[in-house]
Amino acid sequence: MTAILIQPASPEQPVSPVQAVAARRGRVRTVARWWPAVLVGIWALLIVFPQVLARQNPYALNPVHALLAPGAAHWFGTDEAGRDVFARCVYGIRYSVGISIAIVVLAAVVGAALGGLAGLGNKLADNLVMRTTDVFLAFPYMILAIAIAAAEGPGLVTVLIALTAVWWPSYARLVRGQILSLRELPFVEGARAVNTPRWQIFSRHMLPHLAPQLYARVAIDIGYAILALTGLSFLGLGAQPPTPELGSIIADARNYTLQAWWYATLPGAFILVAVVSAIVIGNRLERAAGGSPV
Amino acid sequence: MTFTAQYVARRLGAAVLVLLVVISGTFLLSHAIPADPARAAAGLHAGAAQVRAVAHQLGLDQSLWSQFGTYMGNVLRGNLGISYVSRTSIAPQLTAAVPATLELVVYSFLVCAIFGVIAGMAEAWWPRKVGTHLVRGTSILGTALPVFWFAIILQLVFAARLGWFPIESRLSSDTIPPPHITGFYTLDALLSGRWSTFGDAAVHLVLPVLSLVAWMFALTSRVAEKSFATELTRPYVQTAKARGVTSGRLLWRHVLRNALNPIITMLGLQFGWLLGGTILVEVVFSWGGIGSVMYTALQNFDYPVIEAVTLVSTIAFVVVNLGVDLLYPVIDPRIRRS
Amino acid sequence: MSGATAGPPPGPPVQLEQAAAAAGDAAPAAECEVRGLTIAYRTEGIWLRAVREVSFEVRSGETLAIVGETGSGKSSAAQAIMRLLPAAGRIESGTVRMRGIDVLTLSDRGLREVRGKLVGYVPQQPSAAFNPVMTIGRQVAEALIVHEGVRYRDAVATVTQTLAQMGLEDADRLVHSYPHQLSGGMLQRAMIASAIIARPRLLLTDEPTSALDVSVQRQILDLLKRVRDDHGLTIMLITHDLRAVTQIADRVLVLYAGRKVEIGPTAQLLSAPRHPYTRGLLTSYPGAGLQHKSRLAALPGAPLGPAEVDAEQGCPFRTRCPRVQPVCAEHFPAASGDAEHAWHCHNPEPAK
Repeated sequence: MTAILIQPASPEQPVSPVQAVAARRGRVRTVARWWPAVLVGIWALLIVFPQVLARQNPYALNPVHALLAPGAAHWFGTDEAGRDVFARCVYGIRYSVGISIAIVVLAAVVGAALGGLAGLGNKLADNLVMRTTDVFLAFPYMILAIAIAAAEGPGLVTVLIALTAVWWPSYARLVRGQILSLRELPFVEGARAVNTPRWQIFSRHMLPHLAPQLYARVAIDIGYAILALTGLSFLGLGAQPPTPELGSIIADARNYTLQAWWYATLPGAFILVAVVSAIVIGNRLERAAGGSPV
Repeated sequence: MTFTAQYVARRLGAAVLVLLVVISGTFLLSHAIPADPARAAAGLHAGAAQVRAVAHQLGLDQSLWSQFGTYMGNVLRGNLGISYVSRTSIAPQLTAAVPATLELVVYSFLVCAIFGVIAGMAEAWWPRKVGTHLVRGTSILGTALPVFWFAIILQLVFAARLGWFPIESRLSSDTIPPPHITGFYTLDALLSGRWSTFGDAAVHLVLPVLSLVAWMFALTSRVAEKSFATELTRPYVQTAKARGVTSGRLLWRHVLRNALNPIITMLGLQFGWLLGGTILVEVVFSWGGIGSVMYTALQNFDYPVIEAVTLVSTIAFVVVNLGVDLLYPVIDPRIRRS
Repeated sequence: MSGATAGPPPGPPVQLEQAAAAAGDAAPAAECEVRGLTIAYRTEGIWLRAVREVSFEVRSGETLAIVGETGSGKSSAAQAIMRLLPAAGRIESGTVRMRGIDVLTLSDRGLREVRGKLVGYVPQQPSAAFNPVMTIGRQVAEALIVHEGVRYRDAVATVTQTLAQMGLEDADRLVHSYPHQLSGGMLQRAMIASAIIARPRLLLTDEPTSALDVSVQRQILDLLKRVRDDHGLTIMLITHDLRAVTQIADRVLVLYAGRKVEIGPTAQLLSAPRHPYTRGLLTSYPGAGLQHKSRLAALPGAPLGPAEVDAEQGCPFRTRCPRVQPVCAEHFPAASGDAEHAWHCHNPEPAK
């Protein structure tokens, strides 16, 4: 079901004959285009100014008030050290979302660069890059991330490296594939005919075509990266105490599930909301890029 | 050689190559550890001489190439090394743990594949009914679900609070495992006629499988729906309808085989995810499979075990993808040219 | 399943033969009667009519050719008769009667009986219309399996025989082959076999010659003639190939932009057409060997898009008609002529 945006009739914006008929029949639906931007805005605000939402100090220890149920003072209750869980979640989601964005953007940049090299470079470069991606992709991604993170020693930086290493190959493959099909198009042939340097062909001619699809992919992957990141933290490989990170919060909470149900369950809702936002934004970008939603 | 035989041979060859690369990769990973493995093995309080002795014992004072050679040789013979923590051979430890994980993985996979395909088929056949919007909405939620969190919620609600299912483990503490035939408690119990054991094992499987399936199902049904929807626009569907076939016959005999290709490709890839998700679920439910083994190893910095589990899961992944590759000619005769 | 309107409640299968006979006693011997058929397709969210108020009948035993260019609605009309429109299409109004039975209000069960058993369908481009993962044998046998309840094993002999009758050599091997292993001409023969194997009364063939080489086209037309004579079939032939029309059709229906423009006996239409469009078609048809793609290059103006077709109040051909009058823009002309030869034109070609 496609929605139609009817522009007001004006000489600069001709309406297609079908839309004209539709308008005459009075059957038109408009779709608001602005809500994904609002969503991004809200998250940006949350990440940069967590104090806006979290009124308490996420690090303040208060053992007297340990494991309190959710209430007016503590919206998500307190954990075993008396810290406000809601505040920890808000500060924690900054790490989850922030690092996931870093991971995916880094992976996309590295992947696109290598994919471009593979697609536009000589046979050797192509083979080298492709065999490398084959090696990385031969491993199940979580397992590989765990192995790398374990080797480097736990920490947020480690997880960043591990997940970027796991994520870049699919971008390399994607970009290379697109380049291979774009390479045959007339405007690229034209650019080659006048001896445009290859990196310019890539950045000026091909990237604009790839960009919308890449953005969509990046947005959705941010969602998946959040899931992977929190999963690794849950296993103890990510943030170390006392850094609040949603995965490790839930891991700590596991010991107190029976006494303090809010501690383990409510933080997860934060993750869910973050990932859903990412996927929904990504779907919107994908539709705008002309694909179908994931 | 017929084309199919060539195809199979090529795929097998590629798989073997990938396996060798994977083994090398794992080896390299283990040697990227910043910590001194000999010291880690010897323990924090060991003296320098002891560390040297341990290093020699573990072969860590040899050149990288000879270490690699030893490693490769060992792996190919099934020797996965020695745990730093328990000082015993890893391979038997894993062999005991693998069936537990396998049982979990196989059931999750089957449930997800079967119900996912059926759901996708239904959604493609009856588009735009009220149910579809609901399914699409929950589908996004399903994809966004953190597995470990969902597992905890299931555990809390259905086990702890409602008591419908057990909280953890594969069997109740007072149940004796059935005699070992396949390693699957459910199958072994059935094969040896122990109905109550079967019931116990089955009931313990419900929540863990559900946790894994929730995420996978969303993606599977979406891919299935897209695939079926695409197939339903193809000309042969109209031709079949023109002959008077019923919807059932149309879907099962005509469309299904054509729609399977992208679905099994995706299932193959999802298996990779499943391996990761299984670790998380095993942790939450104290399952005792290789996921639990991995978790313990992570907490103890038991690198050989981490390495071994990585290797084993990756091998499984490679094998499953090989299987998927070999399925294509079976489904699609156009690939079978002889 | 688009186009499924509410019908009689499911019950015992409609006894089509009896119903047809009962209705047939009072009605004329029309194998298929279409009245006021209007078909719409959904484009960019709204429904636009692609076929408007088309009425015609196909008489028992005759071969009616439905002629028009791409977009004239001829394929849609044929698909609508069997309610086989794609999901984006629907029948907005009109009736389709098959020997007196109203097809458009049939239950799903009744419809399934019509398809394959009463009407055989030979779709365009057999290479695409066969299921790539099923053997030829199974697909040709399907109508038999579905309608006569035989098992494939028992139907193989009949299938092989039918394929051989279609002129296919090595039918025993073909039965176990897959579509991608056969040539276009062989697939067309197999498709015809699959359409007639359950012995229908009416055969709908959609562009049977378009996807084929010229030499093969002749063979397929001869095959159709043979099949028609052997089985006493009524044929509805959708085509834009006038050569095929001259070889096989008794009467011709000409469609333009979803409207019925002229209908009459082949000989009469070819020698003395009354509608300017029909005349235009013929001027680019001197004889064998010509492609018909540029046949309207001689006519001024441009064909209408779907929105314009839907919105057109008058005659859609007026933008290109050499005989256009002001009245042509006001309303679509009513039928002139008689039961044998009719046309819709405000300013028709003079009679000869």
